[in-house]
Amino acid sequence: MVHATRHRRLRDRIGDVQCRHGCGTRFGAAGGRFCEGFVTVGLLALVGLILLGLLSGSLGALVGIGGGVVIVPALTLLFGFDIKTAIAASLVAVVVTSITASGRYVRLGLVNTRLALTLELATALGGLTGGFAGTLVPSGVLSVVFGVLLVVTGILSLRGRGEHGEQVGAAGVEQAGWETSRPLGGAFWDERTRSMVSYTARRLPIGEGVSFVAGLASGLLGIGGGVLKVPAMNLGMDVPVKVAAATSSFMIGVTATAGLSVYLGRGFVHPGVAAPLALGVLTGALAGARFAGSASPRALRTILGVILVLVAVVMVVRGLG
Amino acid sequence: MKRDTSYTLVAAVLRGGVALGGALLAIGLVMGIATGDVSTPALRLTDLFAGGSLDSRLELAGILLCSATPGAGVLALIGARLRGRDWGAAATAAVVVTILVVGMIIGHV
Repeated sequence: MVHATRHRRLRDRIGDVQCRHGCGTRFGAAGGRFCEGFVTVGLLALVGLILLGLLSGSLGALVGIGGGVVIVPALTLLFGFDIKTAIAASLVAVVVTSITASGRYVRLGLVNTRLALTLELATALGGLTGGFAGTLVPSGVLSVVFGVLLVVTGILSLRGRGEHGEQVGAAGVEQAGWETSRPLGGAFWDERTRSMVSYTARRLPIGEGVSFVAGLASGLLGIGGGVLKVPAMNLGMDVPVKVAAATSSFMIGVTATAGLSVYLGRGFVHPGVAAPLALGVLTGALAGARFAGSASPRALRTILGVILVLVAVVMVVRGLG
Repeated sequence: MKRDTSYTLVAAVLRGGVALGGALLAIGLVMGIATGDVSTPALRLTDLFAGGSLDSRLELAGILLCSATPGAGVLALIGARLRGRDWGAAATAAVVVTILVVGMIIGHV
């Protein structure tokens, strides 16, 4: 559908060196440290990228899963981009999704910023590590790892979530932004039950451990990592799912930035690919948030789970091939 | 429990970043379509002022602005925590920002 990756100027270390973009090109020209990969995005591909962004952004807003787990397979399998170009573009889309959604969540007081920053220490380190690893690991290996992650994501999306937190009485007014630092926890206004819900985050080491892995996956594979962080906070730390999802959404932007900075530095970001995708995601996330109340999250999650498992098989087979 | 008034500021930073970044991305994209420039190079931070076509650089600026927005949100939180004399939370946020900056520097080395 798209693209012919080619190297216009060969600038790498002296000697027979393989291109660090993972495209398999070997060259021995002297000069700078990196080659310059060009991709061609025609009008049809441009429309396709915007539509992909719309789909991903709306799915992310409706079911809390989307971003990288949809974008990376689509960019590699449908558009034929190299997986590292796909991961870099996906990270841009993930950042845009995060700041679009969390801007609203923060205003509503659903994000526990103390919890977010405490977990973000581990996640950002993981994101940075994953970002470096992702630029060095061969594309085939990345495809297989991504496929395995998709299976996990698909299964998790088919499973339900736990409800935690204690109602502390109807406050009568919407109150946002209540947090405690010792113990780590807080309270939020639950619109569904029209009451304040108080909670305490428990088992912090579980959250930190899973957050590091989520960060690693984010930098390595170009995903947000919410699929790991939300269950960790909700099921592992007893944080109510609304707070877990909103806090994860805020964290994802910071984590993806850590990974993206490496891809940006190593020259994997193609603005012509990332820009239409990001604009689609932006529009899709806003539209998804608007219709979030009327859609059936369970049905959407089921459909998404089945699709992810099928895509996973294709990615693993391609990676091994 | 203490009501956290920093939320309004952080939310404003995030919404401002996405609005400005989105606008730059849209302008760059429209310019690219108008000029028929379908070839897109991989750009790095250093290409912002001297690399690629104007539309690509505008798109890159949009990407950079969006990427900087979560960090700016954390910076806003640091300010709010320092004002509230919550030294522990401020220090945690400062370490997160430091990790991001270190990543940005190392990524370009």
